[in-house]
Amino acid sequence: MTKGSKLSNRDLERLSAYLDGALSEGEASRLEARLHEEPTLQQALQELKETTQMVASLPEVPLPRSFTLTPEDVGTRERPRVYPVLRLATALATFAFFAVVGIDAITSFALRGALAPMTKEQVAMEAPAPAADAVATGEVPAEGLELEEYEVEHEGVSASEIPAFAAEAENEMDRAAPSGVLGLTEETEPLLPEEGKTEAPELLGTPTPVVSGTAVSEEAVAVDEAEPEATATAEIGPTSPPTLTPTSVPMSRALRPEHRSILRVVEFGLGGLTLLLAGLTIWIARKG
Amino acid sequence: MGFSDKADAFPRRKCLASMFGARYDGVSVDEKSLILEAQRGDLEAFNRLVIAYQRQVYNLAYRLMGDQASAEDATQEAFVSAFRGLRGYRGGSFRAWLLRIVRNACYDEFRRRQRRPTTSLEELSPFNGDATPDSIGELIDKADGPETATENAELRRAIEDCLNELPLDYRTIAVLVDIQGYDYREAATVIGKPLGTVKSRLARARARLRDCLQQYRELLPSAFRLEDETRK
Repeated sequence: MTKGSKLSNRDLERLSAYLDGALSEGEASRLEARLHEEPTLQQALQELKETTQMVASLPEVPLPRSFTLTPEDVGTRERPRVYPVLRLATALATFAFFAVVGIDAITSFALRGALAPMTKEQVAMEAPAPAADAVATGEVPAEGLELEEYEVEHEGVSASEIPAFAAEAENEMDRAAPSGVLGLTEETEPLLPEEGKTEAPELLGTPTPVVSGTAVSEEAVAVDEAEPEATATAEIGPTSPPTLTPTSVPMSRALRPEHRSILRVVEFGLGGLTLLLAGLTIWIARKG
Repeated sequence: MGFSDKADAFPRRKCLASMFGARYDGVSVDEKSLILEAQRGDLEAFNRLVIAYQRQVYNLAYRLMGDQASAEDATQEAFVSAFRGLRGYRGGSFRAWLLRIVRNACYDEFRRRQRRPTTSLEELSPFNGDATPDSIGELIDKADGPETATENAELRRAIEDCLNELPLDYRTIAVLVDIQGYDYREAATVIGKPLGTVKSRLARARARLRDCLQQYRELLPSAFRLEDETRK
């Protein structure tokens, strides 16, 4: 053993590498030649070989336990498999919610913009119901008919008809007001043309505001359908009995509230669903 | 002694090499796909890799740390670090990558111990007094007779003592090459040094072990004499 310690580090490395077959062929053959000639080198090789064999004889140590990791070990908790589905559903519900809200906002804005020129007309249209009731009872004063607005609204009507129409309506109103009783035939004419005149700009094909939106299109269709009759009414003039009833007024009036109510329901439903899914997703993520 | 029986001198290495193939512990390891899944955060896939390599990782930790508790801690820490740093794995031998992590964990633990002024050298030695009986007891082959078992236990204890006396760098390379049977290239990957360093450290480690075991040869003559006689 003492002989081996006299070896140079270089020879020691060669012998060690030779034991492992890590020398090149040339190095190995040169070392083997030396081993045949130098007994000390051969002794050192033998000692190294015994040493490595003894060290290699150490058995493998059995595992005391399994080292598989748990989510707690690595600082993450495995989430249930439903988590990604819930997350996707939440995202989709949120997207749908905002889409519906956006559509509602856009359509409302577009309708409002499109119907802006008709605002006063709408106000006037609101009047007939109470006005008609009141007229039936004869309790409505003549001032309640807002003739000024009536004139303004009909700027778009053909110049040849409106002045006469307005003037006649004014006269009729003047006549009806003092009497305090408005009949449903001749006396009601000032009111009834008002309805007819409300549609006049469209019915007569005179310049109308550009209106976008389905409700307006429906309105246009409805107007087209009612055109012959309405035109006839307009031609007949304010003295003719009213042919347009509240049910034949623009479809946007009849349908828009329904659409809006449906949109509201969908919005609330999607909003609630989004909140529910988001809450559930967060709960599952935390509980994990 | 003939010089052509080098391979026969290392049957354990051949055995280990066959063990580290595609199958380990009866588990078929499609390593690449498991690593890819684990890199995406699949803990189950990573645990399959753990099952495949935990024995090798733990054995390296045990041989470096010298006691079961420290080896367990180092192994656990290494696997946790490996999972967290798996995205940093850029191919090559996954086993070498894991072994390097556990080797670093052991080195860190030794540095921590060195910083503790209250820790005595005896406590640092894994094979002293109270620390060894369990581990040595595990090493005894129960199938042998009581005398042989005792001799084997003493020899193993002597080898472990000698290993423990080696500087950590030398011990690491001796464990990797002589005990776990890795080739120089993989050992170089584990310690992060060139092949030349592996060769020189291994030669020095073997020389020190040889000198150390010579002391125990006088204390435990029977085992060595029997081995020498049979070899002659």
